[in-house]
Amino acid sequence: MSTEYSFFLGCIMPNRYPAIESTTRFVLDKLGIEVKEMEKAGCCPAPGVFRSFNKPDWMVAAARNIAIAESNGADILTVCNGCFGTLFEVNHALKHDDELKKKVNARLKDLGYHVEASGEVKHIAQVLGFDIGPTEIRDYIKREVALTGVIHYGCHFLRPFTLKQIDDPEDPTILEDYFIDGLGIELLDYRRKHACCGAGGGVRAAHIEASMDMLYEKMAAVKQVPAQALLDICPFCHLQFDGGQQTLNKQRGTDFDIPIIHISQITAFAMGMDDIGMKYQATAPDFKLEGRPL
Amino acid sequence: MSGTRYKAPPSVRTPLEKDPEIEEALIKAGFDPNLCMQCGTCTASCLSGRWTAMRTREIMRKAAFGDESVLSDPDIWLCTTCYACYDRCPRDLKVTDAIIVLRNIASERGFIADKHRKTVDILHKTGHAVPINDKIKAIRKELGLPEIPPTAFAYPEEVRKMAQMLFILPPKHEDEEDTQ
Repeated sequence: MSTEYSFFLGCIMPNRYPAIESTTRFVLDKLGIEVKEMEKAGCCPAPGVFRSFNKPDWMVAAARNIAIAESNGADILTVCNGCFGTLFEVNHALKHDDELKKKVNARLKDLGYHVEASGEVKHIAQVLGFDIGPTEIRDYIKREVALTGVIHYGCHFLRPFTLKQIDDPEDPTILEDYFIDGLGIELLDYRRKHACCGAGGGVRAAHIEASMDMLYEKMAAVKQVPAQALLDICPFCHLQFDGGQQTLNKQRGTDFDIPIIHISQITAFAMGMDDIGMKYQATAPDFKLEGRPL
Repeated sequence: MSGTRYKAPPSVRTPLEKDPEIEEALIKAGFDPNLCMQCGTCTASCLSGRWTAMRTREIMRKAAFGDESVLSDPDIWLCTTCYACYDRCPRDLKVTDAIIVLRNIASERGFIADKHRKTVDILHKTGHAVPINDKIKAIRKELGLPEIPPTAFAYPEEVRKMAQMLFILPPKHEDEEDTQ
């Protein structure tokens, strides 16, 4: 495992859920991982909307971010499935296609950057759940989390499998192993567990009704099991679940009230941080996590 | 009778009227139109299709025949890019990537929803798809983070350079109905 990472902030984490950023920084510090800031980094850009308009432009903008990380001399760490999807895919494409790399660099030159694609792009769930792993993480935590929860993987962490090769997207266990064996959380299965949250692909931006339909199906399934919280690994899914429950309640008369907790937030709690920023969230702002001695 | 409604009578196309750009883009994206056997695994896997009129198999069939009506069809914008169809395709066709290239051609020809154009405007102005606001600045301060993250926000010149070069969208297609 790397001891330093270029921390890619993206858009939704720093600008909507800054508590995910502060808890991530707390967790990395406790793990002894040095954070290198990515000065001037922009949007990843989002693999749904921006890739849909112009894939070559999307690659150039992503390559610019990758180039910034390279000038730090450290691999990229993201906490978002969308950023991971974009940066991983573009980094992978550049690594395996010299012609493409030449073309992208020709355009990047006008922006003042050069990309080599020599490093890696990692997701925080992969670093915690695999590089460190459920056994070793116990050396770093101060308490277990007394919680019965459900989890949401999101799409771009594991899919497309041919590219990511992290875990089987149809039946993954990386998060289950981490949350159950590592943090002592009890997890429940639910129908539609591996379904998308409905936000990606530019659907939330332009077709909010369809996006809410998909979210409704997911939340209705979550409600059928006695879960205290939903754990996720992506700020965009987080936004969809946290804000979307309020939208559904207002527009469709539902009474969804499931607290949404990011993997960085729950890990920070296990490492001893008491306030993980739930009070800033739209749904269940009063929710308090309970600890259990190791 | 149930409430079945038909948008339009089925159109008859002559096989020669292919839009060559579509076929070329599909092959480049890893979707060989001749390999698709229309099994429908993509449609069956599609979460969006459970709730909307989007039928992936139908989109792929039209695209495979070079039918340009697929480009102006708003259904291609209902894909959340969850990649379930891509991972499950028995012929290993890159279905989601094919939808992305169809969207690219649609965008080139001006078929872009107004709300998507707004997202690009925000990116051009701030360098981010979701910009910061005063409420979040205050929370960041409370959390001990810098008020404004050290990203493109703090470098307007960088944002301007990117905006001049990337995602210059063509004007709206004259036939496009605004459904928003």
